[in-house]
Amino acid sequence: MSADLALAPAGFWRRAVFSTDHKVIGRQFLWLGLVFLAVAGALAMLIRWQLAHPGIPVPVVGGVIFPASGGVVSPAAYTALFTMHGTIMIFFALTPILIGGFGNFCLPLMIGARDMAFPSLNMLSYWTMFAATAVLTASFFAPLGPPAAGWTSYPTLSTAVGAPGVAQTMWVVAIYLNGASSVMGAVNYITTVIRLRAPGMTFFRLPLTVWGIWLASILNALFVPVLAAGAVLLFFDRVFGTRFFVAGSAIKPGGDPVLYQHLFWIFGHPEVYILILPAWGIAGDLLAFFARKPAYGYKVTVWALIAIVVLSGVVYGHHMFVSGMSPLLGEGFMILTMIISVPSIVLGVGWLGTLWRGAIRFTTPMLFALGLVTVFGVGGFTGLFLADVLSDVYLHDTFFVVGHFHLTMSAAVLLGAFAAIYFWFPKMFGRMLNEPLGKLHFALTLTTVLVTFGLQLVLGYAGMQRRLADPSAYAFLRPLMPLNRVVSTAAFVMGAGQILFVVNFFFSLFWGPKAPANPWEVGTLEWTVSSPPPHHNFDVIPRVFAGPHELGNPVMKEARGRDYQVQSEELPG
Amino acid sequence: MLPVVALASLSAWTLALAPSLPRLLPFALVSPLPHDASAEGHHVDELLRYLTISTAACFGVLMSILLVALVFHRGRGRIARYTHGTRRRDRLAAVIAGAVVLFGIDAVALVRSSSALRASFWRYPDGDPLAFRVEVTGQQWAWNFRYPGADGVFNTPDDIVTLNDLRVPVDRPVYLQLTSKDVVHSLYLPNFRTKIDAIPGSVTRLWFEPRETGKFEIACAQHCGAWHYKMRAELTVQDGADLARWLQRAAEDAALRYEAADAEAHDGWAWTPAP
Amino acid sequence: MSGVRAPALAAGGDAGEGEAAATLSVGMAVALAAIAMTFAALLLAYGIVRVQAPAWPIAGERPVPPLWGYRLAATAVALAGSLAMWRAARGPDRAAQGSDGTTIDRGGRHHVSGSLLVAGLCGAAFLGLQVASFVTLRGRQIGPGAGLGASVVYALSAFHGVHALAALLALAPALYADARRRPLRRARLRAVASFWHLVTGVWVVVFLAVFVA
Repeated sequence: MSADLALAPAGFWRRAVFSTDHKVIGRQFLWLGLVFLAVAGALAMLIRWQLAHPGIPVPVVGGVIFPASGGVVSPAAYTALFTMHGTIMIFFALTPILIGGFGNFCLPLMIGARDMAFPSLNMLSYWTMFAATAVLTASFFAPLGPPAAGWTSYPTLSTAVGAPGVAQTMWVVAIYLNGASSVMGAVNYITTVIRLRAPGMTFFRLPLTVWGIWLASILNALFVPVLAAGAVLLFFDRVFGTRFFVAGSAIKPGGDPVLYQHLFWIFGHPEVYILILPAWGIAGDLLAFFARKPAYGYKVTVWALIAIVVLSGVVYGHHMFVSGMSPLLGEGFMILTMIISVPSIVLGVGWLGTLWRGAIRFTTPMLFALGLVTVFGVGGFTGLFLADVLSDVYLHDTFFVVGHFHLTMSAAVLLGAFAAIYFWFPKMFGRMLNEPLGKLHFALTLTTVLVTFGLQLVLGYAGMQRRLADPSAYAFLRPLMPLNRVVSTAAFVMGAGQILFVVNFFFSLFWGPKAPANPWEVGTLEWTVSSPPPHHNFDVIPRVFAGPHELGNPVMKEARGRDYQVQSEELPG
Repeated sequence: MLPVVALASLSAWTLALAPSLPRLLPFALVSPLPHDASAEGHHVDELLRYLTISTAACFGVLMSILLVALVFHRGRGRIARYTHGTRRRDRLAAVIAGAVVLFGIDAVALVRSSSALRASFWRYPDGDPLAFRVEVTGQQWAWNFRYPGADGVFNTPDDIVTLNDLRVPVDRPVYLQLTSKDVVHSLYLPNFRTKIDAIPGSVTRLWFEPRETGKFEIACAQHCGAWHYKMRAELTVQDGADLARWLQRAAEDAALRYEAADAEAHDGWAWTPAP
Repeated sequence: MSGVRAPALAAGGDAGEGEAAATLSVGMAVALAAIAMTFAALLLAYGIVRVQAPAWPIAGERPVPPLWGYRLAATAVALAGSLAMWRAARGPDRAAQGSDGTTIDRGGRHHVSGSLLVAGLCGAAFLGLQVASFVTLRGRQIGPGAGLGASVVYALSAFHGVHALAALLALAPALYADARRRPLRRARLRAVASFWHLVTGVWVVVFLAVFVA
């Protein structure tokens, strides 16, 4: 790729819309992700309303959204709500923000490159994602209703048998396009890290953020195609009448709905690691940066991440313990799933060791990183309840699962996304976000996340199933309705609290104080250039001499009067 | 700043939750688990209790370390300790933590789970003459229960088929085989700590042994469409005499209602033992 | 790989032609791995379906006629196409090469031109044969919904066919540039050729697993 350093494309369209600059594409993904995060969040508010007050019209917006049922969330509408909430959160909010957004923006800067390996492919990846969102948005307005077979879209509910109409087909198409975008991104990220690292930037000098995103990309490249295969077969079943998942009316040899579950979860389990690996990487970096000391056991942490990546491909069966699989297979998956807890605890030890005897600065990004660690702690341990076949048979498809994955996946990843936004906002937009407002946002988000999803663990323990439009239909669940109301209250406060973030974001975008090149006083390469960086990133490709968390070295303090060493700076003396 | 925010959040939460506390208190004092009416369900409860205590203990230790670090190792006045965590004792910390989780929680849970599963849940009462057999067909949105009738064979004219009404004897193993007419459902018995999917085109199986008489709820635990939440059936556990009387009356009813030409209604299958 | 040895750590965004070629190779390897995984998953699905069936073809279903004529011809044509692409990407024997060995200059052009054209024709022929086989099956009243066997044949062939079409379309820019007598980048030809080989390889596996077995 030839380097005409000063030449940024002219014209609004080439510069801001159809740009191949990874920084522009990263911001585009971020905007797309944030918009859909808000949409999925709004859907969650409706779900929580229905669970707290079943049969009562939704205040203010009910008449507009659900005119046919007088503002009440009808059972069919409820199924569409949780389907779209899950689908959008995973594929159209968290993935674009963390991987499309921060992956794109940070990766080349952190490794000392001018751009991704394949800038045009990068742009294509964004517009493919955009096309996917267009299809998914359109599916909301399908004549027979939006997709409603759950984000997992199990057949035969998701075949023509259970979901007639065009919406579910559109869902499959949207997922396929989303997957294609992810795979394009994965090709780019994997190649970029392998090929475009600056001289001296060895693999074990990469920031943990880069490791997280790179490893997530490897999982993306290998396992999203498996989802694509499942989607293709489901598409064929729905559109061309093939019989892969359609079993016929009684006991007759033919298609197998469980086949889909295998394909889906071979993708589905690595997917949750795809979402959390970038967050783990970001947390690892931020904890070191704001404890002002190197990451504890950096190499061991990296090997733990790699171990999790390898194991993630062979544990998927724990999602299918009650589907009638053979006991031996069940035991095998149980053992493998439990083994994943070991590298996970090693990550936890690393985080604690990083903080221990540090000089901790409680900036907003640090607070969110700490929140991530706490929430993941709760959520991670609850995974053990579900890894175990005996307890899982009881807890499967209850709110315990919902609480578990919201704590681990969503909250940890979401908190990680906020940490990333607060941390890199100055670099991306050239202005600082407001600290006090950020801290308040953190306090509200952390507490509401813990209450909302922690109490869901209790609801599941008490036996409440998930995906119920009205739990009070069961006598054994009626005593739990007050608890549902508490959960919903916490959720509403969580939703309302995000307004602080929105206000902070937009206000700071236009009127925030200008950001210096290195406001956080850390040594990774993106902080050696201006905020925001020039089009070509680096005037001269830097040479790297040090690891990413060289903070607290007394030599630096003596020689240069600061407690951090920039990666492209040689140690004095 | 931080203490102010923390105090403010705590006060806000206390005020918000205070009115609900009386209704939430029962959960703190009594286990939230539904009443266990089964012979084998206690294995599940014991495992859940063990997991709760062991994970809470681990989490407590980790949180304590975190809080100590956050309180005592903060502030710009401090000098951070410059270490990469690569010394022998650092690696030891990771090994110990991993070992505690692997052997203290994982291995124990694994052994308890496996032994309970092999000893009971996976030991289908195939050869047991006392086993009470029922074939279950899930559909959108109800449960059909087929009893073999006097001849003990399924899909014969004397079968009794009920809608959402499962009646079983107390203190005898109840053996279910399940399928579905349309989409995947899941038969969930909260008071017996068990569930199994009902999948169109295949047969799954489940067994349990009720220890007390009474009425219990059967729920569907797999999203199966708009009315999934209403797919509720009733399980009635009766002692031998009561059940026999009910079966007698139901058999008379079934005989009256039997229609040879109605092929769709004859959706039972030959009972297949577990592989 | 071209004659230029890329250093262990690339010089970031200021890479020369040889380094760009190496980067393209890595990217293609990842992309091909991802596409191969999709087909692997589809074949896994087929394997599971087949293993679970009490008999294959499934009793009660009309067996899908193998149409050996079409299938063997398609396989032959696919292999020929791959061979032609291999020749084209390898480069001619007596080409005048640029100083970094990556640009195929006019000298051996007719070798490249010929091979590209042959590959293009083979690709088109393959697609034509696939379409013809679908039409024939429909003519015998065997559609995708005729049973599980038919489902497998249609789904795997159609999904593979879409990739074969993509391979043909990927060749189009090279054919166009060639016709206009513009220099071709060997690295790009190699990339397209590797995709062709994957498409051919997948077809061979599908042919053996679905039609022969």
